[in-house]
Amino acid sequence: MRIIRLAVLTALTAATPALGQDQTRQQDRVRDPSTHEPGAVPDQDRLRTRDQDQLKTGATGEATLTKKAGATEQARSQEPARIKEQTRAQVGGGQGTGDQARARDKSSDRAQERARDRQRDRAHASGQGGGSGYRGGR
Amino acid sequence: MLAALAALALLADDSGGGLLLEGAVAAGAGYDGGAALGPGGLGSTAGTVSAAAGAAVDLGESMGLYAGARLDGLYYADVADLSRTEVTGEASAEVELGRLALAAIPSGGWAWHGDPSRDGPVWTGRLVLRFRAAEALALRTSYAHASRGAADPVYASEWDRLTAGVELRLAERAFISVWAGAGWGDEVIYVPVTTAAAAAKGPGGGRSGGGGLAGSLPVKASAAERKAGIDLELGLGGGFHVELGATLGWVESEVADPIAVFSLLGQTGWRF
Repeated sequence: MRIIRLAVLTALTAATPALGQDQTRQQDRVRDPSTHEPGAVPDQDRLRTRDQDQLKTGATGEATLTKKAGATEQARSQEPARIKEQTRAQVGGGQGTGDQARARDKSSDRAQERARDRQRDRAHASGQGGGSGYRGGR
Repeated sequence: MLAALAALALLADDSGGGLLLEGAVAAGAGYDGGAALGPGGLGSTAGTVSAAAGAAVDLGESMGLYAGARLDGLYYADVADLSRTEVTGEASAEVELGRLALAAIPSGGWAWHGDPSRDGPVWTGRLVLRFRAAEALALRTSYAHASRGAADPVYASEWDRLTAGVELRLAERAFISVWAGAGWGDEVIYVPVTTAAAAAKGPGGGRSGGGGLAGSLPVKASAAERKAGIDLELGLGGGFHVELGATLGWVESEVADPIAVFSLLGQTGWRF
């Protein structure tokens, strides 16, 4: 069994370069009009060449499409994060990058902290040192 | 007040900063054991409401101004004469120098009481020094002078007060404050009618009180107060919070033995 498998593999290995050479030779013939065999119809050759070119273009187009599809997939996977950032930026008062939005968030936190500090400061000296809103006492 | 807000708006425009609206509303209830001062103290259950709104502007990173209006209501169930509603205009100028901040806070307004003879203007001037020792730890010390006018001069008073406190942030929206203060000024002591005649010959005198103060006479006297307290604040998110405050202290005066005062009040509010 092993011997048969080896024989098949050897035969295939030997046959592949030969097939490749044959193909290359045929393609060269198609591309180079000077190698036309007598009796060949140049128009048909040109058509074949054009077909092959179209095929190539098609392949390239497919590659482009694949690339585009990949990019779309990537964009789709990034979409929730982007929307989140954009929403945050818009809530913060305009569009901006994530860094800008974060900076605005931080600035907003700081503003709230300052407002609370001011409120506690005002309450502190009013007789209730703890700074609660209650300003009781006589 | 409108002029102050307009000035702030202009300053905000000049400095390129925004005019920030801020404020708070709160309501609460509890027991005030020092609602009125007399032998043994005259306590009462109490309800409180407060509302404040104003505009602040940051002038650069180190200076801020605020102007706003404030309403404080304190309503006693057992001594209705002392219940009061105060409406004041309030401003503050704050300078920050690194971790240190100094705020000057003048305010003025009018107070209405259950007993109209106590109605009158209220003026206060406050200075607060805040030191942020760490992100979660703030130390405050303050001086305040308060002047209360009244239709009946017995109820008018001048007060000076020094307070120092520590505020610690326990969690993102949970704070605990511990503070102590000392004050000096005019106090109204309610003395029993039997001793009122002698007291009236002293620094001040008055007529018999009403409501829970019946059978006693208000006597104006120089007094000193020592008070300490603890305050817990728990943020509920969205600016809502609950607070619980307790105070304990005593008042010394020329006309009575030291009188113990205490209070326990809880409230809930919303800050924006």
